[in-house]
Amino acid sequence: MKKRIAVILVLSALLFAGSAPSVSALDFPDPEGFVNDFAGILSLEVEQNLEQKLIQLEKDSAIEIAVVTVGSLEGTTVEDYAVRLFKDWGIGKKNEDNGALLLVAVDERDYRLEVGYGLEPLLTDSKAGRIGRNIIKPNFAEGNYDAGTTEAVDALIKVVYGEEVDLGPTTSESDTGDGEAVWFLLVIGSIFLSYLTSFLARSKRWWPGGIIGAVLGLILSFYLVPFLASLISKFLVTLGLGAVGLLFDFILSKNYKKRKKGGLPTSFWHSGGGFFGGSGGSGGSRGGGFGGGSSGGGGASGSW
Amino acid sequence: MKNLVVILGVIGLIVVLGVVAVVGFYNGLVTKTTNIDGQWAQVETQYQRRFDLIPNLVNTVKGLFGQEQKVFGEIAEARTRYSGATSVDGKVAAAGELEGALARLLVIVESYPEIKSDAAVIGLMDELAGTENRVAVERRRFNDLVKDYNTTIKRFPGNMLAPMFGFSERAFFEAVEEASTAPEVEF
Repeated sequence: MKKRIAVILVLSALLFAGSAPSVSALDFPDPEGFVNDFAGILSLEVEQNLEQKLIQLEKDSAIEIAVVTVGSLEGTTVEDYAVRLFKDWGIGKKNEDNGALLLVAVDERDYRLEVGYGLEPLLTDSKAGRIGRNIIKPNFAEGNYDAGTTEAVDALIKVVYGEEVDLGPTTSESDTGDGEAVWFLLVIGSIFLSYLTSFLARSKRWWPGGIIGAVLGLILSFYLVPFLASLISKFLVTLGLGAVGLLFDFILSKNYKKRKKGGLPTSFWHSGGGFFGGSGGSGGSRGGGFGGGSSGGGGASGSW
Repeated sequence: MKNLVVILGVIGLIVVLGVVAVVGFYNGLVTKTTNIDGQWAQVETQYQRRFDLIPNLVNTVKGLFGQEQKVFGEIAEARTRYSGATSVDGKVAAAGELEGALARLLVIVESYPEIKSDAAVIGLMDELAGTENRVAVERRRFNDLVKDYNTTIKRFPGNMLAPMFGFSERAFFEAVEEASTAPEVEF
């Protein structure tokens, strides 16, 4: 009997859960480290050297700079590829968005410096543009991928440390607009909320959900009973919601454990496992040491 | 008697679960709507950034030209219209006009080597190109969110529940024809 109830519950849960379709046309490889020479244009020595520098940078400042070379952009633009890859890997620390990506597409002879939100004030578009134009472009045009990449990364590291660097022709920098404070608060608020709720999933115990459910049922029964039908007594709603809360928390906790084991994202909506048909939430990183930061198209690109 | 309790309990559980799902669904839609509005704010932030940058560029280029160009007037006009626009549609239209005028300005700049090699112009062009790309990115994310939201309210059970709570379809942000490609800045 208990089994049958569980089956009915799960089935009716499935009925109401709608899985949200995700939009993803490009399939990105997993990161191998900070330096990902998928196109194979860097020498092993330079690759290891850069990796060391970027590991050190991350240790000292928590800033994550990724260097990625690809053969082809798979039909999209370098700007589009960069911003999607950035989001997919989650370069930079979550909430700080202190990441940057140097993307090189060999077939298209395009490069892009994509800058995370948090680094935009330091690494402005015009600085990124000068690094590209004065360092990457001339070196790459002569086939010096090793030198161009190394010099570009050195310049990037100096810039993100706030050091003065000679990047060629200088110009007045314009600041990024403020007025992002409201958006920032919104993000922080929603993150706080999702962490509060994901507590259910994270707690190993699965009875708090029952208590919360019962309290919820008590509240709901007073607000929603006329909406439901007067046949069901308030007591039953309270008891029922308590049981549902138990089950829900049980599923959440289980799901959380499973996802954690599998290295899958465990933010609220993810640990919810699409229970409410919610997508959203910020995409977690895919391992490889990146922290889940995001970017919004800042930076500069060019071709050689 | 015992059976009756069990059956009543099961029915109660299912109904209650339904309520939980509906509440969850409702909250999901609220979250999605809030996200869409937040994302729209992001688009507007980038628009504002663009409008803040343009006077710098125009003034620098103006100084270098030494003569009045028709495009300066068009840009000034589009700016005035944007700040005067109260509706989203009005803002989008003004932003589209501005994008067109900007593209023409960039073409003019391109044809004057002494202007396009000016350090200040190069820096401003980088900022402008970055801003255009930011606009494109935030706009695409806005449309992705709208698409996700619209899909949710069109699919079962959204098609039944969404109208009950007064949720209706949201409009996509269609890029203005001539603005669909960000101006290419090449030096």
